[in-house]
Amino acid sequence: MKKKLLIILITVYCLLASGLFPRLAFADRELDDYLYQYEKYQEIYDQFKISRDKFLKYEALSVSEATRADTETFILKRNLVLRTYFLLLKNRLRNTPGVMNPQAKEDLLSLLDKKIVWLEEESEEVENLENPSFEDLFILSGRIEDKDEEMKNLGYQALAEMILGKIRSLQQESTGLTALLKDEVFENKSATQAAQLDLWLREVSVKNYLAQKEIEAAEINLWNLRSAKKETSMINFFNNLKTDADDAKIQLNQALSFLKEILAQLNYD
Amino acid sequence: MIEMSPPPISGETPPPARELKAEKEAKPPKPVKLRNNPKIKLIKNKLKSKNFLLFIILLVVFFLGGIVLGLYLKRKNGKQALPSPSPSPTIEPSPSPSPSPLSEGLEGKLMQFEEHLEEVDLKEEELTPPALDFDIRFKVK
Repeated sequence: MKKKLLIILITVYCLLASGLFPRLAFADRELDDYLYQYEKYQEIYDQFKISRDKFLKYEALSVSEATRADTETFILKRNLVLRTYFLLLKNRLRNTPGVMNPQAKEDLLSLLDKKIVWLEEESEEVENLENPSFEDLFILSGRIEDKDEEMKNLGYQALAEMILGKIRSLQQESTGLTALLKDEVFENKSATQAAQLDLWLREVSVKNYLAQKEIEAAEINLWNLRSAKKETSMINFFNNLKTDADDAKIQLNQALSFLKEILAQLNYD
Repeated sequence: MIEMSPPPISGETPPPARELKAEKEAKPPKPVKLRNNPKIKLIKNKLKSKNFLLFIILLVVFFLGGIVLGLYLKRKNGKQALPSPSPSPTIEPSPSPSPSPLSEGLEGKLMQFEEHLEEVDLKEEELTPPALDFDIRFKVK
């Protein structure tokens, strides 16, 4: 009986693992992994701060040993959080629908890959240290800390590309639908009706155009974001980009309500 | 009927036929239990393993069916999502107020577009870069 149960389990596992139901079984493994590591990081960070404060207060040898171990654990966990974060971005960037310049996408994916590998190597170096001193650990941690702004910039860039991809895709969908509806109007309606509906369709085209303009404004913000060095300016450009994308969505919503009206007119005239 | 056995090689004298008959009458043969019959056991086992194999096959067929259905639906949806470049077919306008098949298709596409607009997440809060401590250096005496 046990043997049969085992065979059933293996069969089910093989079917799932072969990618037959990847979306069902492993819906968002990267996100779960990142959130889990980030949660663990918070715990380890709290432990590190307690340990460090204790060491600075007493400066005893026994406390020093524990603090060194906690510092090492903290550095490794921080690297791991960053690594899982970049893996998540990479995955999302690959799977986000939208119109993105393939070369720009490849460049961004390559940058993310490089960071993932680099973080892995840095972690290995920390792990390979035998009885590291505080100074050793600070030097290795410093290498990551020096790249802080660069890594944040990479994160914001990837996010911005994803948001832009989504809104571009929606704008194209709206433009495509408008064109389809236009064909319908001119093929099936009398000249007077067609002229009336054409006026309405022009309103939709204006909304699509305004959405396009918002997208272009968002692209300018992305351009500025790429060259931003400080986190405050990165956040500023990123927030502006999000506002532009939201405004584009508002325009597309209006275009949709107009399209619905035109369709209703076509159906019941 | 009593079978005539060949004379023993060892030279022992065989028991007389009468004695054998009496012995048989005294001890009636035990009824063979069906449950313990090895042949029946073998058949049962074969049947069980056949059922099990059938179950595994059904399981695989079920999974493959799911995939085929999934692919079919995905293809269907994908076709709906993209506006087809081919010119729209001309349909005679019907006098009734019921929507034409072409308008129905457009309505479906509009509904799909509405869903996309509603579902799209332009905030991506969970993907904002993590707030990590990038300055852990402290003075060691």
